[in-house]
Amino acid sequence: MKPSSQTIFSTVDQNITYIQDALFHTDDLKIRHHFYKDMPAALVYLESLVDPILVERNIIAPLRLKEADNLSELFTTMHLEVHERLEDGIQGLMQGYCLYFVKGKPVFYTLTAPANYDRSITEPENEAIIRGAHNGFIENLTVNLFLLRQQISVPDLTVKYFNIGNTAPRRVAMIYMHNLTEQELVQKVEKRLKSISLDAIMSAGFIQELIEDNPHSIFPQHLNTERPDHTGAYLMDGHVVMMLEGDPTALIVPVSFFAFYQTPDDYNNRWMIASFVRFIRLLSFITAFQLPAFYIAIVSFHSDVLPIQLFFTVQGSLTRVPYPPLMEAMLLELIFEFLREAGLRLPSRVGQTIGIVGGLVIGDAIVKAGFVSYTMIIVVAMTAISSFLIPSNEMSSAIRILRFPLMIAASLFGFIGISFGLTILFIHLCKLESFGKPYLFPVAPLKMKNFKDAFMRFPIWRIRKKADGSPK
Amino acid sequence: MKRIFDGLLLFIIIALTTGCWDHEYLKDMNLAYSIAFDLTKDHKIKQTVELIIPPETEQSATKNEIHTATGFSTRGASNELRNRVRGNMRVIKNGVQLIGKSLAINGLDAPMDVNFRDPKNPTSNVRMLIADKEAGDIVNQKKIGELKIGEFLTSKITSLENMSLFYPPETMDTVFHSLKDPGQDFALPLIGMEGDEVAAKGVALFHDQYYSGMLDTEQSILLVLLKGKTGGNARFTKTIDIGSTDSSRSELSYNVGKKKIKRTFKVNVANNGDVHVTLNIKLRAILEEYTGTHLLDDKAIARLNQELSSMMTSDAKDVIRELQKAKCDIFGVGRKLIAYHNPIWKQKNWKEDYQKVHFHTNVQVSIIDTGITQ
Amino acid sequence: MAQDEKFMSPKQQFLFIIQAQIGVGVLSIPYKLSETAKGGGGISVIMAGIITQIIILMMWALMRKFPGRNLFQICLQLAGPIVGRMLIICYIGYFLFLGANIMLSAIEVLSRWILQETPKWVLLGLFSIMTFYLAREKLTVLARFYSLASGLFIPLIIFVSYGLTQAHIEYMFPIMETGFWNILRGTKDTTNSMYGFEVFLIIFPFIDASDKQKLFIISMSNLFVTLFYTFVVCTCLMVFTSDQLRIIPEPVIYLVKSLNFYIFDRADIIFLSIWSITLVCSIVSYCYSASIGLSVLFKQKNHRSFAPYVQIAIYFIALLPITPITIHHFDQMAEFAAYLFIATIPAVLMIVSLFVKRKAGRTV
Repeated sequence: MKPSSQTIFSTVDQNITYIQDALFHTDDLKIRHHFYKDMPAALVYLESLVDPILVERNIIAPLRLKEADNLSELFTTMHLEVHERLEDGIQGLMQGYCLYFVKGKPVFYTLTAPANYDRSITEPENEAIIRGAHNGFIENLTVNLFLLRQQISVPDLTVKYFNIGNTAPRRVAMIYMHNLTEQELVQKVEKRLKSISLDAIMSAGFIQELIEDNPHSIFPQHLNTERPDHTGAYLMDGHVVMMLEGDPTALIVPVSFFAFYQTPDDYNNRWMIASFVRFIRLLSFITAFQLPAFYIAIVSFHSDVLPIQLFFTVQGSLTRVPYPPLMEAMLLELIFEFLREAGLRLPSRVGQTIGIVGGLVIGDAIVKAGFVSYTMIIVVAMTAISSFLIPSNEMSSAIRILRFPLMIAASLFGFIGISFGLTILFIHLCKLESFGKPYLFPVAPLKMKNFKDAFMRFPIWRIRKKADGSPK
Repeated sequence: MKRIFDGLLLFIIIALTTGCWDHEYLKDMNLAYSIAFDLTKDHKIKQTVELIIPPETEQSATKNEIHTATGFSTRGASNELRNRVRGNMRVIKNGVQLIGKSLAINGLDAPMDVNFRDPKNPTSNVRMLIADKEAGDIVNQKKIGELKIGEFLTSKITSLENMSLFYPPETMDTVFHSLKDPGQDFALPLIGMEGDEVAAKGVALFHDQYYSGMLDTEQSILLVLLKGKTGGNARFTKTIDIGSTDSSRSELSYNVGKKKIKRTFKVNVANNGDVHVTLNIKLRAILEEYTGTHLLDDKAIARLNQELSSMMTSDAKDVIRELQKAKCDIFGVGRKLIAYHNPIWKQKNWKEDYQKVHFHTNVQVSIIDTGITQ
Repeated sequence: MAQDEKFMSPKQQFLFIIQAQIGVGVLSIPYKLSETAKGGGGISVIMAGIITQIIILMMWALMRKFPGRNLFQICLQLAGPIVGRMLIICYIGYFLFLGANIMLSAIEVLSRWILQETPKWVLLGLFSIMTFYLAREKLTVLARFYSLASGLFIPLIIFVSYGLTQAHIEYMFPIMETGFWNILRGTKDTTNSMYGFEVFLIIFPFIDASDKQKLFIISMSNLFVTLFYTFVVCTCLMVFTSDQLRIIPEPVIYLVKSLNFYIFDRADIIFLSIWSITLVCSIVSYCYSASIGLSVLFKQKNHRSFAPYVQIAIYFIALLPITPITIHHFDQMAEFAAYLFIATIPAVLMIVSLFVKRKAGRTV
């Protein structure tokens, strides 16, 4: 849309024609003519975006009843803005505003009467909440901001809007705590948001990919959540949150690797239990991508590592398998990935069938048929389960992919191959930065006092007093 | 990053073009669990190997096969064996190694060298045994009861260790230490066939790397106690005369392995260069069986203690005599000399001089528990 | 914040130097010492630590005279553009050579113990990829990875400590068996396992601490390394008899191999796999130093573009020696090169700097 600064025309009709042209005579553009103090006036709105009851009750009715000198006195219950540029009006129309033109006035008015077809605030389905607030973000930015403000009702909570997208701009809100967030970070986020030049932003994932430090990395560098309490906690830690209008996900930056292993439920649990759970999750990081590689390395290189009893068990289960261990593992991993993806796309009732078919039928039959061994099934199943332990879906996918290269490395060089893979992986993690903050904080660079909230979950007074949990 | 993918690509190319070098698939291995070495008449080494065959289906048990081959050296015999057995014979999980007496007399260094040289050969968990006749005969039993011979031997050894017949466990590693230590010798379990059964015969004493003598089972237990060790149980049965007037000889069984042993071991060098070793142990015994009629009151126990102490002291002296006869410095007297009396050590020719060491041995037994009856 | 990015914290410096210092040498120190010092090996190591400390003091005295400059820039400043450049080239050569030497010893150990059949060029390639991937990064990333990898010392120390269960303290006695002179000779053998602290010359300006603090921290690293080596040497001396040590070139691995962990056998495989990660750190220090040298030489701001050349050079240098004898020569050359580049040249530079300072003072 080329920028135009067409100011208001003198007659209502001229204005209406201009708007109609601009909107290519779309049929849902409603124009209601009437007279305001005997002057011809018109109310223009897109009927698909406004609430007809609101229009009737809050705009038409007052106009008919009273005749005040000032329009703002008329619409006491409504938000009223005065504009000169017709482009602003067209923008407003797109966002559910009504335009009110009166002949002879050098300005026009915009009135809000947006239709509200939002779903109610419900618990996000992909982030189960055990204890804590059972609400989640929805597709309406204002409601989302309401949820956040309700939690953190201090003036320091700052919201900045950006319109991103060249042809179909959408509103993105950058939210941060003015007193807690580093200014440099805010500027950095702002700069990157402004630098996005794309025709349209379809979802939050677009923003994510366009502003992250290292888009070629397999690891997520933004934390996604639909939970207001989670978001609020990060805001209070000095992070910056980005939300896109019409998308219920909040993008939180900067974020460290360990954030993906934490859930708000940790803070609702007793601290020892929460620490244990967190420890288990981090353990799952190791098993989720190393276990198959480890198994392959043992079976095809270092059988001597196995204690004798285990040796025979494994050997016994392997005797009938014709494939090398890498093939065997790849086959099973592939089947598992198929099942997972299939289960994800199917409606939940049919999804259960997939579980039965996959878990029971294929699992049992594939061993009986001699394609893979029982031990391999155990290994792959363990891996799958541990990858689901990770609270963040993105991290869990990243980890799942990682095990393939590691398996190849293990099948080439055994344990040394695994060492090699891990070294490369950890060098990469050390290199990663999320908005200038090291990704592996607080392990590298080492900050012992922040361990309290990374590996463990110390009692809250211990965490809050000293370490603030954010990579400052 | 792009570089990772480049690296991975390189990986895959390497994998496809050259294959994997050290790849050794677990499935293809045939494991030798117990190995016996003997010396044949024409001074070759005969190797008898128990191979474990993995079962065809998951739930069934493993089977074993016995194979024999001869060669000029251990490895030579193995190579010869590889020509005969199916598949890839590996010794990476070797559990028991038997050595025939004839070979042991000729020294252990040569047959064991390969165990230490190849990193794939295990050392930490391999039990060493000496067979009183042909070691191959024992392995050739193939099965004892339900157990495969290798399993049988390991479980047998563990239970004998528990009975303090041999303790601490002698593995390939500890033997390696002793072999390379001029001031320390070792003893290995001695087993042999008794009819159809495999029985413990005592311990084989070694001097340097050569078999040089043996102790019977009771002496073996005492030897373990003299080392200050116990495997958990150390039982003796003695016939003892406790009665004051009537000639009531009774059988007495007691266990000294339950309690910690107090041991004093001192090596002193006299001015004339003689080496004096004081070796005292204090045993605390638990009475397990007493067939006499005499009531075991305090007085009787005091008497028993005295009697047992003197009996065991003389037994201990016998043991030490045997050790010195076999030139087996199992207590590490030489090691003490090296460490604390180095100049003296350098003057000594330990092979000869060990026999001249004066041992002052005393065993004290005190009964601390008579069970729930008196 | 951009400021923070350039510097590493004192804690990181501590771990950095440790990682750079502890290399492949420690695996075979007890073997080398068994020839000379025998039971007194522990003393030899401590003395090597003291000698290292003296050199560190000297380097520190040199570095503090030129705040914000690394070794190469000092060379340029003190020796003039031509001699200085030649010095830089020599130093780059030295770093390349030592890096290649460590890499070579590392893969020698690996191919002896685990991957007997894998060709040398492949293993070298593996190590090259790892080191290259890290060496081209900025110093803070290096520091992060080093401190991360330092966590691996914990299992390694546990492995070795577990060996103490088999220890006989008598094996170590008599400590002074071979006399003081031999213990001193043992020191010489140990010193070349101490190399690595010379990266201090390169990273000195990038540490976020006062000069005194820097000295304190590097001394602490040296202390840690010395104690660690002493611990390893003493453990080996207590576990193996001297006759055994004479025939086992890598007693530390042998020790780990002979341990019985019940849940898994062959601990040496796991030990070496972990160890190889910490080795990468040692090699990277040299690669990084060499590429920094190149960037100073060609007046580039970033060393990133030089890292590939450095890595390729190291790869081919390490590929050169094939027989054990050439490898041994290689080791000896590295040793003498180290005497020259770690001790002699910095000493000369320091003396020159004293002279230059005075002259500068006079003109003002």
